[in-house]
Amino acid sequence: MYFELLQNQEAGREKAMDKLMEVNNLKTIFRLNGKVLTAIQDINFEIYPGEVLGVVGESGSGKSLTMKSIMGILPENAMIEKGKVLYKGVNILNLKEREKRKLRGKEISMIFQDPMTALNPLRTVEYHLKEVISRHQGGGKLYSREKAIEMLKKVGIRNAEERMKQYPHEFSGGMRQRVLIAMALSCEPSLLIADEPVTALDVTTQVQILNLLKKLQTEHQMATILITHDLGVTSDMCTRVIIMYGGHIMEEGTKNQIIFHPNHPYTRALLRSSMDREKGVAKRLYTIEGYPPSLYEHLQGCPFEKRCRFASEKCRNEVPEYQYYEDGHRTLCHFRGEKLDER
Amino acid sequence: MKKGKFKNFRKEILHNKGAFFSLVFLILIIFTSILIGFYDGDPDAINISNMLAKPSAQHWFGTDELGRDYLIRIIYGGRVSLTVGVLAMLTSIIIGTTAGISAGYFGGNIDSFIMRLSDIFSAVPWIIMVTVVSLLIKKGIFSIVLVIGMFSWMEIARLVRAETLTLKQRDYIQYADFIGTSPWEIMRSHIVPSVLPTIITAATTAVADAIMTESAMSFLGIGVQAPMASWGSLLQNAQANLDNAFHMAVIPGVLIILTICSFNNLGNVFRAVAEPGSRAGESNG
Amino acid sequence: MLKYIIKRILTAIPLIFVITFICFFLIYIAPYDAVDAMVSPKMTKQEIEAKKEQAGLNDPFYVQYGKWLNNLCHGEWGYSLTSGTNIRQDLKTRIPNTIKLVLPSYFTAFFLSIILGLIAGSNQNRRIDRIIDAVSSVGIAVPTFWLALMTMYVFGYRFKMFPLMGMQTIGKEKSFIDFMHHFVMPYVVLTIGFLPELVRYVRSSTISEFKEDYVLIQKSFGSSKAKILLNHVSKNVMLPMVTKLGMALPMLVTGAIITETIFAWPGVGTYYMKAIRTLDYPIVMNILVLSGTLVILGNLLADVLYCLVDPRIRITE
Repeated sequence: MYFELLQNQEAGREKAMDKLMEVNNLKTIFRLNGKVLTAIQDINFEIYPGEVLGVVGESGSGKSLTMKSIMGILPENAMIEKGKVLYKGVNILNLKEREKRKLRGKEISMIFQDPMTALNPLRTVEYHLKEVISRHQGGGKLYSREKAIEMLKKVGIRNAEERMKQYPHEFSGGMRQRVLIAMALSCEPSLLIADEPVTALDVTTQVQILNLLKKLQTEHQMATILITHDLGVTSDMCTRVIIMYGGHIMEEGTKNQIIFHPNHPYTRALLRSSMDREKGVAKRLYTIEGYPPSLYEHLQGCPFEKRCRFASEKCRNEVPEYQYYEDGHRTLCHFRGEKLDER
Repeated sequence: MKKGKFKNFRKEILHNKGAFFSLVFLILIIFTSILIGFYDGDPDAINISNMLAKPSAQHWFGTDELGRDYLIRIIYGGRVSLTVGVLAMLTSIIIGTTAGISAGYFGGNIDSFIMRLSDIFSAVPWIIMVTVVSLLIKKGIFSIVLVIGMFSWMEIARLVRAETLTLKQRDYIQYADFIGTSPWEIMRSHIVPSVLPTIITAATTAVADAIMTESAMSFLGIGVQAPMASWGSLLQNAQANLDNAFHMAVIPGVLIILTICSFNNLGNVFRAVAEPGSRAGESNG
Repeated sequence: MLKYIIKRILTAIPLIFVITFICFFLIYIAPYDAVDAMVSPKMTKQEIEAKKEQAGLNDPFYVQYGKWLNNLCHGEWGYSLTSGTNIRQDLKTRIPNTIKLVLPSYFTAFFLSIILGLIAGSNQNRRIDRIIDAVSSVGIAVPTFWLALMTMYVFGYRFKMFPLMGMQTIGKEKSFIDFMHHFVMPYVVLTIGFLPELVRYVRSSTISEFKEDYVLIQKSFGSSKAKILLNHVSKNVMLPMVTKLGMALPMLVTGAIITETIFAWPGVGTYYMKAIRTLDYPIVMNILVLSGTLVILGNLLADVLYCLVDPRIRITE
């Protein structure tokens, strides 16, 4: 039934409404020790209302940074050098800070990786929730309180009224992440960005939280960007997937295209290195040799070249252009997917 | 690695204007203190007819209540202040390093004991401690150095102990222990060199603190005794003549401030060179 | 939590005994004793011995200690060697005078440092921070006594705005205005003396607090820097400061010794320094014990206060 829902979503997209958000030519740089380092090279992607976009990549691939660039919460020494982010048609990068703040938490919400340090240990959960609610929704104390209780119940916290008065350290990691989800959803955003929401949690809790997110996403029909380093997580929830590496989008496609017809060497390697879940048999773990490029390496060609089985001279010297396949499937590679099998 | 650190130090000094002037200032007063030894004139040349003169071309810093040239008095005073500062620093460094390394390396009861001792010493207000001890021992430079050293080793001990604890976990230390090297040998040839950057940084702060403490003690009359003078005791003299000879109070104070600031700045530079991580560094998001 | 407090109080009591012991011991080993200070060349050896016997100086150590401790607990704090006055009576007037000076100064400095430190820390590396940081860095290098002299000269001698000495003019003891007149200079000097270190502490605390993860999360929910500062960071910075308040308890007695001496303020500081100069041991000893006890109590107070305000400790106990 869920699968049908996804299929309908994909079909519906064709005659879709306007895109919810469109990222064009985003380039983000860092200033470190007097040097200028490029973290995000030239990113383009879009997301439609109600769909779930997976973003997969190793650490350092730029996935978190992309989201922070979109939200405008980059650290002090980073800045967006060029690019546009059109949200509901408006380039939010050009907005005044005051305007941007109105979006954060209300239109676009974000949840982060580490729930243990995400809340102020000296403020109650009630305080945290009420603060966000009253900021974006006004209402009075009574309204915020009621809404806060409602949200906590929604994310599965029992005895919400009592637990609200407690402090973060009295909640487990999984519970804290639920609280953060409650905060993120309290103002009914159109877009939720979940940056590795379960990476820091133990396996059982991971499943619970992911299921919660799935449920809420379906209920609210929120567009969701789900960032993860685990391709397996995307297979469950996502409609489309983006694979990032070295500040570039290496491959983009629907979930089925990525999992069943990967056309990029990196995606293929990623798939091979996760366990074979379908068959329930753990094959010998395949690892991709080497390390992702550091920010300091000035690369002329494809960032994946050093670790790529199919790399050629051209790959070292020239940054590839996109290869396009059907239904919006694309890869950043000198070689077409079919050709890879021949090499 | 040491060469690299020295290059970093040079770069740091040249970039940071405050640090650069601090270094220049300190070199200046140290040189002056040394060179004054070759001065022929009598620093105690009393000239009552010229008491409490304001600064002039003849007497750059004016004269004091006995007509002595104040510039000379200041330089000699500086000599004493610096000497006491450095000696007191050495005392507290020696005590602190020994305590810190012992506590860190041996751990257990020794560690508890030393840390308790450090707590007790740290807890009592220094001025009470210093005044009481000065009652018990004879006044003079030696006792001042001892007293200051005795009550300022704690911070250094704490820093050194922390460093030692980290170092103890390192493989090469554990290996040296494994092959039977004596603890003293390990501490001497392995731990001390690694702790050196921390000690050097702490040393600059220690000199600054010692100069401040000595000035206060001398001002209260329990520091250096006449006829020797330090900047602190000069200030005590100045108090009696405040109305007539304001310059007598201003100059030693300003010099104390500049000297302490310079040592502190230098310490900041050392710390930045020794621990590059303590600067605001950013990793990718 | 109550258990913790009681436990702390119980550990404090033996510590106080240790303090009294150490204090007594220090004075006991002093090269001169009470009688030596009163000796004149005309006295014969026998007379001196008799006096010593009378003063109980020939009794064994533990007897002397015991007697002294017993007296201490009963409010018998002895008499000054030089003036013969009852030390307890003296302190009864002296301590309030010191408190009148130190309490307002410390609180002013505390309050100001929070404001300045928060402003500096939240604007790190911008102009206002550079100024505050530079001034406080120089500030810790300024000797308080020098500052006192400068202030005295400018406002006392040159502009003759304030009296130089003492706390009251004779004959005007009831006048509050007269008190204030005398109060201003030492108060300002003392406040400025306390300020730089506190500012640096608050500033550094604020800077590290802003580096915490929850600050980013707040930003992502649309909070402005000002709101984050007011609603979150300031609370987190001020919390550990209660311990500083507790630790400042001994300051109420010994926090202004030098300043009091310069301005001839009739507090514990001047009383103590005079005793040091005249080798008036009973006074020194009493103040030593008082000071040590206040340090222990101050630590205790700091721990208890912290326990009360930090929710993490309060609840999990």
